[in-house]
Amino acid sequence: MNERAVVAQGAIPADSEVDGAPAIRVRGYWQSVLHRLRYDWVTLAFGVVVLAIVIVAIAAPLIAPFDPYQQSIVGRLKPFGWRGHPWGTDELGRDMMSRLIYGGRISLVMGLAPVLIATVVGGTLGVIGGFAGRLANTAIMRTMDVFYAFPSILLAVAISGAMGGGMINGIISLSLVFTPAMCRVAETATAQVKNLDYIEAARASGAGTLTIIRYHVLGNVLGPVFIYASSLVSVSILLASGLSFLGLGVQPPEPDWGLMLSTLRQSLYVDPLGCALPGIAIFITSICFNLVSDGVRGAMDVRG
Amino acid sequence: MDGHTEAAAPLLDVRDLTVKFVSREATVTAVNGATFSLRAGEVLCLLGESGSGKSVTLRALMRLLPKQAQVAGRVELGGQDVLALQGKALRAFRGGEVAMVFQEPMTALDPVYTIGQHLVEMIRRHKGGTKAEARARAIELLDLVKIPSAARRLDAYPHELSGGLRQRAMIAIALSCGPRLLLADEPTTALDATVQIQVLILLRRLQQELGMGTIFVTHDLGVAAEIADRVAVMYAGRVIEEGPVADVLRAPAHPYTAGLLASTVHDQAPDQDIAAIPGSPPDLRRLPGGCSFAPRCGLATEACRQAFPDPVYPAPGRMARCLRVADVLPSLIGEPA
Amino acid sequence: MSAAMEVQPYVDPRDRGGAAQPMLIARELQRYFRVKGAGKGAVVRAVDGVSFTLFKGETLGVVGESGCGKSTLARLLLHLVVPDSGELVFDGDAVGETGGVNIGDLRRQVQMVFQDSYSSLNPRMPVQDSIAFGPMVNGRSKTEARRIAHEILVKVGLRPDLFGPRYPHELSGGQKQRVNIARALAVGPRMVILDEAVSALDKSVEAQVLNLLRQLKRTLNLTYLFISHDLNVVRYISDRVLVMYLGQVVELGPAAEVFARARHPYTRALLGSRLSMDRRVRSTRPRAAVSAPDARMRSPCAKRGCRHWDTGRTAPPMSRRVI
Repeated sequence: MNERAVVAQGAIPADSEVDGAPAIRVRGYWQSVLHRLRYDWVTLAFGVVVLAIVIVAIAAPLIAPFDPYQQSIVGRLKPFGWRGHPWGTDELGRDMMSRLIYGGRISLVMGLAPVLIATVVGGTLGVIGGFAGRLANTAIMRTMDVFYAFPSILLAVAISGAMGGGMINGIISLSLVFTPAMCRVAETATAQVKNLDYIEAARASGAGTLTIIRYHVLGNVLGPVFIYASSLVSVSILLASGLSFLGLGVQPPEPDWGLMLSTLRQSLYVDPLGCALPGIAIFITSICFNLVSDGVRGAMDVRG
Repeated sequence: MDGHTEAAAPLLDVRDLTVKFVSREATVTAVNGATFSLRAGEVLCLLGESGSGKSVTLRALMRLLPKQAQVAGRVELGGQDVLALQGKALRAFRGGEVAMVFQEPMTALDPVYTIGQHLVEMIRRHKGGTKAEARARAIELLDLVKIPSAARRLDAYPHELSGGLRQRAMIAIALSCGPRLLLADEPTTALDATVQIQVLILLRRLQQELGMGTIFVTHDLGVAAEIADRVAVMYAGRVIEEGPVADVLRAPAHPYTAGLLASTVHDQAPDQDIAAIPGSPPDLRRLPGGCSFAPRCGLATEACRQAFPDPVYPAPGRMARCLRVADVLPSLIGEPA
Repeated sequence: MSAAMEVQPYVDPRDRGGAAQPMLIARELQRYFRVKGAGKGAVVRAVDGVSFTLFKGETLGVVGESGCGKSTLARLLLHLVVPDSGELVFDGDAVGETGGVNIGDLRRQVQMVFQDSYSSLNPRMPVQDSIAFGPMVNGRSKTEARRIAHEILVKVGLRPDLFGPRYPHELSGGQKQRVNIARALAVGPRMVILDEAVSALDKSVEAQVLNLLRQLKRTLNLTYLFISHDLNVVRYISDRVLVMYLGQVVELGPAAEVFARARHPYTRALLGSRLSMDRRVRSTRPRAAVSAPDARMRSPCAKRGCRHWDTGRTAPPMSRRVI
């Protein structure tokens, strides 16, 4: 037919010549996330604050003006600036600023460690549950549901109460609280990915289940898991402080913000500002993590 | 219906329609100065591939684009300025004057409402009346689109119907308020072949009976041949050829249309390659200067790359935006009928 | 017989039995799926006793509408879905049985190209890694696999340096489909199942990919099983055609024959629903209204063998229902 003649006239460029170079630079998924974050000044600002808190906590021995355990009968509940104590002293005469800085270490550990443990344990269980047959899936997910049914604070208090106080027990308790939620997120993500064509293609290539999980599933599951984990950090900090406040977490004389709130409570009418300081610290840290995680989630939500 | 009665004013007049999507990363000009018109009772087919701008054009006609879209140009329906409508007038316009049939009925219909509820809501919103009256009219409509056991089907949910019946139901919803203009966005693409032909025949019959102007978007030349009176071929946001469908498909004036015809698999000999158009449609973020088809065109010259060709009118009722129309057309126009 | 059985100069070292032995024989393949909640024992008869032979070097087109079971059939052939009953013989060896060929070996010789959808390629992996995954899983080193991936990209017409590191969302539909084809070819199969491989593409891109498939078949000495709902494409590319309806084979024969002189009423209905590109030939009424294939129905062609297609007698029309 003559249409063919029309099309065949002249030099037809070969396919790849016409397609040419990519219009935008090739960018991986995580790189595109970082690129989008660069424009989000709110998240960046709060990210800087989070970074500052972390650096201060790590560099505590270099920054803290006094020894956080050094008590003084005379200098109890002193106001700001008294004898070189920038933020006054607590009810046992210890320097508030130093205790807050050292307390940051403990609070951050109590905040991050349970989330990390829950991500690893819950994530693994979730991926197994998502990939395994119906029986294993039911067994895992319904067990998780039992724990998930309890309100998190109640569950944390119950487990800590049963295990006793202390930082390690507190971390274990919070990990148990967060694991079911992480498991659920991981299982949902896995189940969504499991039925897609490229997984079938991988099976058709001869790959075993573990290889498929390693190469194809994890990369796609890590996204939602990471988003959820980052939002859990702020909750974890709050819960850890709560546990310490109730006496179930860190024990005295360790400087932990929740514990400080508890012990300073009696002095509320004498030195209200000083009593508020640990609360302010908890609030700022928790909210900064929260906002940063929101921002990261927003950047990660867009595909490609 | 072949484009000779120029005297009658067109039902729909679109001039220089431009739609831009602006984002931080790039500006995408999805539609770039599209111009076409439609007479009452005529079926126009917007033919094009992905990225040609046909679906965006359709949605612009009904003001269905998101707020980020910048729409410019003139769209007039029966003399009324569509792009200037606001508020109540706009709501009355959508569905009352212009109605749309979408590609995927499963997502276009709300799964928690029955077909009857969809219809009754539509009818009462535009025409008023009691529920009983609306219900009676709904049954009439379902009969019109040849859905059997109409009364029973009124109470069916979308997922309870087969694909073909769902699409017929959506056509009924679109027709419920007697629109003057019917827009159809690839309504049969998602249907099986045997169902597709039935729905196309139905649409053609309804259009003839009710006398609506219809704009049909498709990428399938067979569908265009089946249902259209005139066809407008779109490429990279512009209308590059227009004319009566029989003439355009038999004797295309633009190299892209010719290439589309040659590359569509219909009855080629199995031992020969299909004459495919090389390359892919352009990236709308960075259109080449000059004719956007030039990089893929076997007839392109230096002049083609300078500026986008102006419209040429090789025959009455036909338009093509190409500098090489003279080379494309004569070899074909003398072909035996 | 197959018109494509010319003398092939290249013989694959894994070939057993030569050109006379069929590449694949399917006998009474069956796969039912339980339907949840629709009453006890309700099943979808996805594949209901399918038998056919696929000869080396030919292209067998499988055509049918949605719900006819062609996609399930494709997965049965690779044991991605395990058949309930029936047997599969690949180049003379029974599949999945002791003494025959095991599934792993089968998957090194038979591969599948999926429909271009957003889910056919891992969105987090560069395209060259997706392609290299197959060879890597089959024992090649990473560098070796990457080299194979680049070679295959050249064969499908994409420049490896430009397209290798790209992610799927940066490619057009046609380019993604070429990558899908490359992925299937990377492990070096002898047979490729193409499941609606061109259905989601624009017509002009479809033409390019079809040309590519024909070229690859010649140069790599492949056998194709081409599944599609598009009759024109199947007619163009196939040597023989198999028509499926509700999980059963209703017609099978040389492509030219089936399209010119279809015997089964369903095939005739399918062919009658094709759109011509000639404005003057407009359908007024399709030749036979066929009821929508609801796979929970039993096919009117009973399991004992539909008498329509193997004797050629004209049969009573199938139920006329509006769809």
